[in-house]
Amino acid sequence: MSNTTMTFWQDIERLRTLLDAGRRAEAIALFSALGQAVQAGDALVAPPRRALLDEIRRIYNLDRAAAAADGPRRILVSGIGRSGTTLIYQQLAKLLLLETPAVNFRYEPYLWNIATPGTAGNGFGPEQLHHFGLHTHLSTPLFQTGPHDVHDRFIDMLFAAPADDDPARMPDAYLAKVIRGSGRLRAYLARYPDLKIVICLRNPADTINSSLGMFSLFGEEFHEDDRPRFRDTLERQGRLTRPLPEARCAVEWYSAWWRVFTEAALAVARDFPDNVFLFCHEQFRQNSPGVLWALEDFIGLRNPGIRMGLDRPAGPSIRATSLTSHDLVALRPDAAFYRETVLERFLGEHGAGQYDTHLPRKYAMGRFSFPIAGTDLGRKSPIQLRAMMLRGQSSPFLNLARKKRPQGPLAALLGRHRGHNTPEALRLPVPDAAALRRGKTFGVVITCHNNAGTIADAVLSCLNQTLPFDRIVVVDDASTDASRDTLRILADHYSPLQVEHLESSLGPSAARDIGFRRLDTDFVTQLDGDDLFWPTKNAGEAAAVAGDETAVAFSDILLVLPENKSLVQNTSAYALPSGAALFDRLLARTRQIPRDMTIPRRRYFEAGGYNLVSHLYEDWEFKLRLAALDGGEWRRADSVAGTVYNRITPGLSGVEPALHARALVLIFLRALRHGATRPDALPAAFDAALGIFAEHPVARTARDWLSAAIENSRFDAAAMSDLAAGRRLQALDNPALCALFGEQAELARAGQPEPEEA
Amino acid sequence: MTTFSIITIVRNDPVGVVRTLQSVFRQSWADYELIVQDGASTDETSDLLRSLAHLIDDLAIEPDGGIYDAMNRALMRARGDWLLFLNAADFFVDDDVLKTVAGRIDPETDDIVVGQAIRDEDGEIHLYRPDDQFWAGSTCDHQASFIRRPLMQSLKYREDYRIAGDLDFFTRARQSGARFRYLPLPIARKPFSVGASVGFADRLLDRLDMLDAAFGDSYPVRDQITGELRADTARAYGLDPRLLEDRTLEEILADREHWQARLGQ
Repeated sequence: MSNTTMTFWQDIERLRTLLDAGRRAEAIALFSALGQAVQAGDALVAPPRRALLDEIRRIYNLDRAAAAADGPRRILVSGIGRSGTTLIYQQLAKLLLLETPAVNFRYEPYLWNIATPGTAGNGFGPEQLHHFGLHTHLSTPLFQTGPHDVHDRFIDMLFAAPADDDPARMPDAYLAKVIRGSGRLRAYLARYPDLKIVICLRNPADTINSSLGMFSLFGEEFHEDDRPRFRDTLERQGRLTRPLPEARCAVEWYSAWWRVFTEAALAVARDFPDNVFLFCHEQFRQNSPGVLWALEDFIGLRNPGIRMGLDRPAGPSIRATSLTSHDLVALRPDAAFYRETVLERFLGEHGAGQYDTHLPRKYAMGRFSFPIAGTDLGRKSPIQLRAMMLRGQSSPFLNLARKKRPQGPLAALLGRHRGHNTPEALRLPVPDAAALRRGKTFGVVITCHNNAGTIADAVLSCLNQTLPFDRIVVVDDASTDASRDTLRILADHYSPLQVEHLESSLGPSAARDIGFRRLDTDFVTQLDGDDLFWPTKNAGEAAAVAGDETAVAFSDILLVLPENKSLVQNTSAYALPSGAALFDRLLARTRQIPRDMTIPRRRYFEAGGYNLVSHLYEDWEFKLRLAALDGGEWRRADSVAGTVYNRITPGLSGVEPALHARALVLIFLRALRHGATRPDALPAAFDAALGIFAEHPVARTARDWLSAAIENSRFDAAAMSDLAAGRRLQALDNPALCALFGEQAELARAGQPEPEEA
Repeated sequence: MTTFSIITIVRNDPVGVVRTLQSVFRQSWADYELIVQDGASTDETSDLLRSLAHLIDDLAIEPDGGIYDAMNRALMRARGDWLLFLNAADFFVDDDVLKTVAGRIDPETDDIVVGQAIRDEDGEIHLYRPDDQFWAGSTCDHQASFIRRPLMQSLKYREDYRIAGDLDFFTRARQSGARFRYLPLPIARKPFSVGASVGFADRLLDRLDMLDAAFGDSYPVRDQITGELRADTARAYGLDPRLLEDRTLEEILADREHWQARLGQ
């Protein structure tokens, strides 16, 4: 005998033992599982085994419909939105209609007034809103276990009304489908103990992704009242195990809703085994004949109706991927819960395990589109949407969703530069984030000034890190374009995102500084609103710092150039301990300096932060001070790249050379106080640092002063530094600055002591 | 050489004060001192100021008894010839303002040199009343007024006003014979929405009290302001001004409050 045959007869034996012991609920569950296994198993032995099972049902009266044989059948399909409820409603409708034409149908009666067996062809316009249903939904608590004046009348309307097509008689069956009633199932059962409930279950990632592409789980097609009510209810009942974020449409809200109502539904199934059929969406995908057989068995009817039109989708199917890496990580606890309580029960441990890898992969590798739910578009009625389409109108959300991506799809770059990484390694969240974080938190400050075309991608590149950031602060430096709208929508959807709007434009240095002050993570990094992060940037740099709050980490830079070109710039020259050697290398600026490094937040302030009043080479100046700090190490991460640096649009190249030369000279001089470079090495370092600007008059006169001071043993790093840092110097125009440097050079050559302040 | 004292008062406005100081440090005229008075901010303002301390001549971070007390504290430490109160969020229109003003001030004939303030929200010049209506207020903006130091240090700000301390100072200066000169020269941009946290009615009554006490005996202060309020109210609510003719100033203010609560204007 084969193993499956052995198992079948062992299970029959166990079934008989359970029935003899009066353990009816367990027996029914096993009976149902056996039926499904037979249906999915060997086609040759299936008919005699089905006959045997039917006989056992007859002998032991296992037909759960038998009790209600005298009255009408009452069937409720319940679930969380986008869990397959419409499909089951339609299949059950056909099953019932082949038995009798006298069926009362109610589709989504908490919202709609639709009394048909199918959803196709229904307009779902405001004229079909069910006012009593809406009133019932809003005036009945989300969790209702017993009688309730309004809700009971609503239930009667569903399950005790005269026949729709002949009010003089009662129908033979009632079929209703609700997605807003998972917390009220006990109230239904209290009023109609014969009610049969099909509870649809589906994993959180698929359920939530599907609803993000359509409407929110909070029933916000027309109203938003469920959301605050949900939070208040959970708080009152002490069931709020995780904080609900400020971001109204964040995936954490959806997962809390999914979890609470999935738990409530499972508890009802446990307490009312005769009344409840658990329809597991994933099991149905693998073994639809078996599940339908068991469902027929549960209803107590068998006919082909339940299999008709299964190949046609029920309701709109959502193929878009709207989950970021952050979202996938946020959903992990609920995915684990679903696996343990549902998938393992219906698919076995092995079958359940496949979803652990399949689901994250499906979403991480999919093509992303912005979630519609909860946006201005998600809240519009179909009639409003149609009017918008007819008139070619737009909305802030549509502007965001349709935005042209100037940098081209990141996907192409990921293919071209992935190095030794598999595509999955660049997209899937790391399995053990805690090991990488080492108890530390990581945050990023994104600065935005009129980056409407790119800011959404910049933010998404931070949300799609293989190690998602704990916190993302976007400082909007008084943008006047559509950035503000875009950031508002993004902040509505993502819990790590905090948007700070500056009322006047301060420039990137001060904007970043304010961002770092408002970020509360142990490590911080930064991103310009027109650049992107490579997906392994944070994971690579977190691994490099390894929790050491004196270490700085950086990655190579992926330059994106015009004409679809790109190249990786190596930054390995700066992988050194903090101190003199690192400082000297930075001062000469000859090797590619790392960008957007991961630094301990504490160190940012120890190094004095960005120069708030300077707008050119502010990064270089800050890094010089950072490099001069005692202790610690600069470490290069093992990531293909950190920043994907946009060189398509002109940046500083538009600034006139005089300003470049001036900024470089002043920063070089100001830095002297922080380093310990040998004086005789300074002129060469100066020439290297100034590069193509070395011949500008400001550079030439400054270099002359530097050389004169060194040659005449009058070099005083601190005094030079202070002069360059002083306010008086800022007021001088370039000719006056050259004159001042000239005077200083003269003084050095004349052997006069330098005056303290020019 | 003409020297200036730029005085910046701030409390809990990190962005505004950085914006202000950025515009000061960019000035091409180096002969100024910068005095910053921070009323013990509770956010990151004080930290930002400390990081800029090497560029600030006189930085005080201390609790004060309100904005005019803070302004007086800073005022009494000033040493420049000409004072300008450029408070947090106000900023110079360009890098050459001080240089230009230094070239235009005549220490022999000027006591208060008044330039133009630009409304930051829309770039419009904030208009002053004609010179002969000085008794009705709105004669100068402090962000655009350079004041001779000894004059101001002797008159100071009176601290019993919440809003109208400026107007009161300019009024007392006028009464004590100070010579005003108006220049058609933009000095600073000023966000007019900032500082509007005190209600419209409070601001108007504060100003009316001040002007009535100073000029009420000689000029029709109350009638003038009531008439202007009528016209403004009629415009804001789309009413025929004649419908408001019999309403007193207090009644119109009450009407506005009531209408605003109902209509949200």
